[in-house]
Amino acid sequence: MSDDTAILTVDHATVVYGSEAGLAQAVNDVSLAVAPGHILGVVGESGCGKSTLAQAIMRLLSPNAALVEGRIAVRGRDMYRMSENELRMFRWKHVSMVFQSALVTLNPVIPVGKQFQEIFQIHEPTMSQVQVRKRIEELLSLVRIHPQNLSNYAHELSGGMRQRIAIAMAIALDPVLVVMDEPTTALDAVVQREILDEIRRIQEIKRFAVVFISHDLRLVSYISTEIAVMYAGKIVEVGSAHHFMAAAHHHPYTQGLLDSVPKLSGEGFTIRAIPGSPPDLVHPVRGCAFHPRCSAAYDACLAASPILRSVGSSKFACFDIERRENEKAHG
Amino acid sequence: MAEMTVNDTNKDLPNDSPHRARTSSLFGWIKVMKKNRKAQVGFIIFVGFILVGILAPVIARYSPTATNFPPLEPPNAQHWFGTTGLGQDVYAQFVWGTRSSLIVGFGASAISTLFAVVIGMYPAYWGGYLDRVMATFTNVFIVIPGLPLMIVAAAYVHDSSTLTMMVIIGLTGWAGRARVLRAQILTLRNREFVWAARLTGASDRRILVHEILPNMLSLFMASLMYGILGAILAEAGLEFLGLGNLTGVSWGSMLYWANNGGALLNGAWWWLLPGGLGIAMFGTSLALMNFALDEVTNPRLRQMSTLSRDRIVRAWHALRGESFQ
Ligand SMILES: Nc1ncnc2c1ncn2[C@@H]1O[C@H](COP(=O)(O)OP(=O)(O)OP(=O)(O)O)[C@@H](O)[C@H]1O
Ligand SMILES: [Mg+2]
Repeated sequence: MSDDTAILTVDHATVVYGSEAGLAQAVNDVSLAVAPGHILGVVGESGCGKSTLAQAIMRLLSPNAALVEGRIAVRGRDMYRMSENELRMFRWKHVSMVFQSALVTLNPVIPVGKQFQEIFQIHEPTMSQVQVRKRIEELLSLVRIHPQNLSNYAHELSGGMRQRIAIAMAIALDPVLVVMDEPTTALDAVVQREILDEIRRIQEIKRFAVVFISHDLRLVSYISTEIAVMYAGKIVEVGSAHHFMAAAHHHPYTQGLLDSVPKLSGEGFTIRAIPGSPPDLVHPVRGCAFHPRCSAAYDACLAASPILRSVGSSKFACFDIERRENEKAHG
Repeated sequence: MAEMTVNDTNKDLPNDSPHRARTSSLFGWIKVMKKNRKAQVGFIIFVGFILVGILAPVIARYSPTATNFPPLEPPNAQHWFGTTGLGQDVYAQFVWGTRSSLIVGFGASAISTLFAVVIGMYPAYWGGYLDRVMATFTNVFIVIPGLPLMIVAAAYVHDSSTLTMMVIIGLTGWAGRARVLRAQILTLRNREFVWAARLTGASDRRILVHEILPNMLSLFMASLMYGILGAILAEAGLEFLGLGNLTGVSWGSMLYWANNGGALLNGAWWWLLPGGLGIAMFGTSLALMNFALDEVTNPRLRQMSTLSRDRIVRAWHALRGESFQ
């Protein structure tokens, strides 16, 4: 799936954690490509490996995790072939990240303005104080934060303000890719929406690509140009966001996610939860990881693990969809 | 087909090592420590010294104070560690010195531990007036320089028996440890899990014993180990300055006599070395056990040492049946 024009290419990446129980495959043979200026939304339930994927892209995996297969390249440069020094200069300049909680990423004992300056001190040592100051103020106005807040400490700002500042910091060096791991999860619904609009607006101005990670399908479909659905470390469905909500087919897991979003129907709310329990990544079931929870599962699903195949405008890793497509094709 | 056989890799990972045992009890730790290389080495050295101390009368071969040997003999078959300038057997001195240095070390650290716990830990949990008084008391003790205080006390009591040494060292050495334990209690007592326990109606005693102490055990043990080492160093310091019992034999007094007898001028390295090495090796054994304890009680350190990225990659490739460089 390597695409020469893509900003981010993830090629058959597999990440495992060594844990007390054994090897956990948190990211399992994932391939992705994000084109310049596109927003890829990654959605899936808790523990499916979204954050691990984000960390793998940033080469920020925890010490007991390893990218054991595959390649991850940003702007055509393999993140895992860089020396520590190259990586230090590459990260943030070309690919940056927004974390779930800015309270943990902003240093509590340093005013936010000072932390902003540090980014430029490290990456743009030739810039003068005045230039840096001007640049920071531009960035802040982009996320609609008043420059006087620069002298504040993180705990003196609201969650929404902190997240805006974190976004401004992420785009400080004009990266081509920003990875956002649940950037709005710690915020209330109204602020969440504001931040999403902010991201979209800034993204339209700056044209950076985004990997937007969330467990909330509505948020993802609101902001993304492409949507990838993850289950048990695998991408089970990926397609353009434009058609996503109205698409004819969905992977049974995606369908479950869609059904679990509250809908206002004639009789009021209907919510359907996905039955069964989340998968065990250390002792994966044989066959398709989703089959124990899938109502459409048949013998093929128990025997082997499906791989992503194009059906219509999307790609699915589902034997049932393939079968139905084949039946249609053959009459 | 990788999905089906993932379980097999478990044999390449330390399946039965640390993490398995519930490590909140002392007993669980001991089980886990047994498998830690650092702990093993540290423990063997430690037990070696203890045995030497206990068996001193049996293994010393000569009296440590007898002066009837040829002076300044290098190590030989009769005198394994050579002899001193006064014609004493260095090996006998080392063996007996181990015994008295360890006795002072353990005794003094028991006294300072008692003080550190009673003055530092308990008042900190309940807070309030008593805590403020005790904290002030501790802080005053911390700023009094330890060595001069010990020197003054030792010179003043004019009694250099082993028990006096223990008491002087114990009473001057508790303050720093009390402060560390107090600080830890202060951070723990307001943690969410302690509040959660309080909300479920747990009594103070239960919280202290079941919520706080398990989280402090490693710090407490570290404090104990450094207490012992500190006491041995303090004893050696006092002896070296001639303030101890110079008719007795300890690592410190060996250094004192070696220094005063011109061991270096005479090239008698065998006279100088054993006292210093005894202190250094015993300290190393405590430090090794302490590092191991850190790893055992801190899950993150533990994972880093047992589950390195290389091992994970190797385990993965072993599972996939590929040869891997
Ligand atoms: N440090 C770690 N050591 C061992 N296993 C880990 C570690 N971190 C994560 N895992 C495992 O890897 C899997 C994926 O975790 P990850 O954090 O990527 O999930 P996630 O999709 O981001 O979930 P969430 O929505 O809750 O943030 C989980 O099953 C988790 O148990
Ligand atoms: Mg996550």
